[in-house]
Amino acid sequence: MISQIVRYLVSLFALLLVQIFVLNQIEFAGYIRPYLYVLFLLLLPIEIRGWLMLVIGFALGLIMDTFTQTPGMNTSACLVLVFSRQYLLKLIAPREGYETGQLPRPEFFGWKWFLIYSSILVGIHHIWLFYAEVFHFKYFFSTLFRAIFSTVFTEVLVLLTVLFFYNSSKAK
Amino acid sequence: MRNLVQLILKYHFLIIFVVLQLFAFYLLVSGNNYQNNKFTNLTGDVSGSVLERYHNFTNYINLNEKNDKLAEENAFLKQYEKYSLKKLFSDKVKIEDTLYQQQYLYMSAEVIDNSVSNKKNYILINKGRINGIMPEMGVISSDGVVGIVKSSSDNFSVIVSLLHIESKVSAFIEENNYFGSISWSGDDEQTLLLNDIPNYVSLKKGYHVKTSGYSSAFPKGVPIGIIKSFEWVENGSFYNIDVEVSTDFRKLSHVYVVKDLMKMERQKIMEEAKLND
Repeated sequence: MISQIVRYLVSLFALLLVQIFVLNQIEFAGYIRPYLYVLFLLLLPIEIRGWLMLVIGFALGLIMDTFTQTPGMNTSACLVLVFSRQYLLKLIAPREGYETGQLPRPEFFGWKWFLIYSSILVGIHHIWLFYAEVFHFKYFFSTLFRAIFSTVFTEVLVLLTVLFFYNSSKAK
Repeated sequence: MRNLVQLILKYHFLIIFVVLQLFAFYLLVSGNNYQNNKFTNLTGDVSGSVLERYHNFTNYINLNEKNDKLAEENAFLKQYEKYSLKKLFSDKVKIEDTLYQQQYLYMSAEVIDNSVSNKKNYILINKGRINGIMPEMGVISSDGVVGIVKSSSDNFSVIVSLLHIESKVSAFIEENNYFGSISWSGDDEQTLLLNDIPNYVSLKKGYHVKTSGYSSAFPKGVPIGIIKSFEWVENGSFYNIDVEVSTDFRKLSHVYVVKDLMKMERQKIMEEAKLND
């Protein structure tokens, strides 16, 4: 239990480092911005209670906002992500339900499941985030395109990260 | 009462979500406030010190280029040094300079975080309230205008970059003295828009756009950019003018914060005039 928490904290730290010092600093084609840090929320165990997930998402968003000088933006988007995650997990649950100890990773449910799961949540997060940033529907379509392109980019990074770091051989 | 408790227990997930989301929106709305920003006042020192350490590390990579630029600027400034001036009178004449009075002071600062890809770009610098930086002060680089201070914590300040869809700077065209205002469309990090230039004015590509000095954020004549293209709008009375920005926001490293020593005096007389209206 404790070792698991430590492992999550280490991965959180690594993701934050990469997000703040690498991804936030590089410009991709002018307006594409990947937010890989949400991977942390995606990979948290399924059985974590809803309220705790909300608190974690809130805290993570607040940390990101502190580093990007964008008060409330990431916080709000992370909350929406966590909120939709609870319902999405119910929606795409296997017929016999989740077993304890199962994690929302490809090694448990397959790559197709994970692709659907992660891209929906990343998409929701990004669309919310980009509109929260502009806070106006004046730039409706350009914001939408930015959100979609960035979602694709983040999703690719999510899949690569999971492939290299979370795809251990202890799959069932 | 028991029902209420049960209701809360049943919908606790939704309730917590709404409460936290409301708080996030409070931050979002108050942070969007163009001027003072409590969030960065509180968190600026924490994130600032981390980002500054990172910046110190990456700074070495561009050191050569920066040195060249600083040397260039030093050379330019040297011409105003006392020893570069020729004495017109003999030693015994004392000259009280009553023609000039210092109006603007400049404070150098280092950029420790910056972005150009957002619609609302902010720049973080390593000087803050302790150094006398206040909201609404102008920020320039050796190339031209950079932005306006939005808020500052003790040691750091956040600047609203010119590349911010709500930024507005008063400007004029040097060649014909017409005034307008500079804004940004949010698309191209190298192109600004010059608005409010009436369409009977004759324009040419390459005309220089500079600050007007109408606000106390910038002195008159700080470069903003060069006219890249302009378009005569039918049925409108103003031109659409694209201005190529003179500051390279991608390479921003040293900036100067402008302090207007006569700002209070200026505000006071404006208020008095309005009161007497």
